[in-house]
Amino acid sequence: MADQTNGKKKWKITVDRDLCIGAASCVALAMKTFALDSENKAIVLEGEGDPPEVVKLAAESCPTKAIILVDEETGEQEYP
Amino acid sequence: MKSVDYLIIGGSAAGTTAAEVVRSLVPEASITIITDEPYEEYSRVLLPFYIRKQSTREQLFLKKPQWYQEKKIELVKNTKAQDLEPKSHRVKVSSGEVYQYGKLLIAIGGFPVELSVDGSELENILYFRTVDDADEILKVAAEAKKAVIIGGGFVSLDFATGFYANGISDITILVREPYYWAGKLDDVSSQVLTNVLLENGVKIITGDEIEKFEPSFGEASEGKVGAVLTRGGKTLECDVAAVGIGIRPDILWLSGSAVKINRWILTNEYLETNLPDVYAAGDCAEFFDVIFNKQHALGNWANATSQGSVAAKNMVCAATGGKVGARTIFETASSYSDSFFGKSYTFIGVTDAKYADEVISRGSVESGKMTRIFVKTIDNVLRIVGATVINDPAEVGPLTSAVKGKTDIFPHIDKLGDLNFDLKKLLET
Repeated sequence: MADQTNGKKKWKITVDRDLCIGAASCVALAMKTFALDSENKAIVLEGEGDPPEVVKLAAESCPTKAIILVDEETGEQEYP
Repeated sequence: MKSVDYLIIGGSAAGTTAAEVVRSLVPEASITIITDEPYEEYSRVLLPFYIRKQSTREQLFLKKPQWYQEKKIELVKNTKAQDLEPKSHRVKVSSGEVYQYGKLLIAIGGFPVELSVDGSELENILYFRTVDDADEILKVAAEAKKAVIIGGGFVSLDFATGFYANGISDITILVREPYYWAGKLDDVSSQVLTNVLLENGVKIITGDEIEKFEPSFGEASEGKVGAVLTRGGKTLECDVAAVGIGIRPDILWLSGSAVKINRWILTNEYLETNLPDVYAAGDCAEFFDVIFNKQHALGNWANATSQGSVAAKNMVCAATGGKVGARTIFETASSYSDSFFGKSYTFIGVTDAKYADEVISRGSVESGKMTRIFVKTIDNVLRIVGATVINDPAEVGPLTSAVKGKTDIFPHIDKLGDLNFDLKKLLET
């Protein structure tokens, strides 16, 4: 879990490890935000990360819908 | 004739991602996606999970019709591109409609190569690309008891695992090469992989190939496949046959366009083809890869999505005279992973022994794990350019990072073959 602090939106990002199969499109699209761990599953990196729209595109690109985005301000789940 | 700013042929990962990125950059432009399938975007990656009943059909679908409406992206289903006329910027499609495009993205993916031996027209001979194929596999597998799979690659692994999950215990894989996946793996990696198949009761015949399909006998199974006859003289009885002998792009419609094609559609590092305003992305693109300084084709989801994104940025940048977006080089070292019978395999970067200077092996048949690391000196830096990883997912992350980061591995080269050497050390500066 990590906060997305730059840009307009702040995402709370989580990866559902049961769903993740390591297809790694999130890593390809938002490499400052996602990486694969030793089980070949996506994790959320600490630090500044990518702009929120890039993170949204990465989440939407996930072929298993394993990335969950919650708007930090409203607490509402925006994806999936 | 219809006029559209951005015409995208292909509605899967590359095409859909490109449409989404174009829309985010130019809110008013018209965008049309032409797909030969009757569906919104779905997850091809999940299809193997669907046929082994680990995913529901509903889970496959990534985009709902509302998504296209909200994004003002026109999705034209059940339609194939038939002709490209680059001078007039026109594409004719199977409905008879003609589209005039500002920018054209070709993202048509790959199609299974079909067998053309005697008996190929029989029922219950299966191929695997689409959700409709997956539905057919589930339907046929539910009734079948004996399966023959032709071809030794990733599709055959998906078929074998899927058939097994559907209760078919008698499975035989027929491989023309001397061992399974000989074009991609060395014999030790292949042995590690095939041991998993053998442990699960799958039989493998190597060095032999199909001569023809024979029909089944009996009224109830009329018109259906009953056996595979091999050139070596074997008769392999079956009530379902599956074919996974490679993929190719469906490029006949491009033959009059003068677009340059090698095995796939050639592009530069910006995913531009040789034709003005025509781009290619995803499985069908053979792009100039700046990480390896060579033309490269990659068939995987991560590559398709990121190429769709880059092609979109470049199309918009060109269409707006550089006012929106930036001309972007496609640069990624993607990997492709899949699971079979609870084990896994991964391909990273370029895994061509002829291209590499040296190949270093880690693992053994006994350990049930095998990693091969492809090493090459480029611009005076000793780099990892690719790897194949069988049953050892912990190796994938560090190897992918080292490929992508063009990491100088000279200090570690002597230790790479030692399984006790932690590959994460490659990334420490």
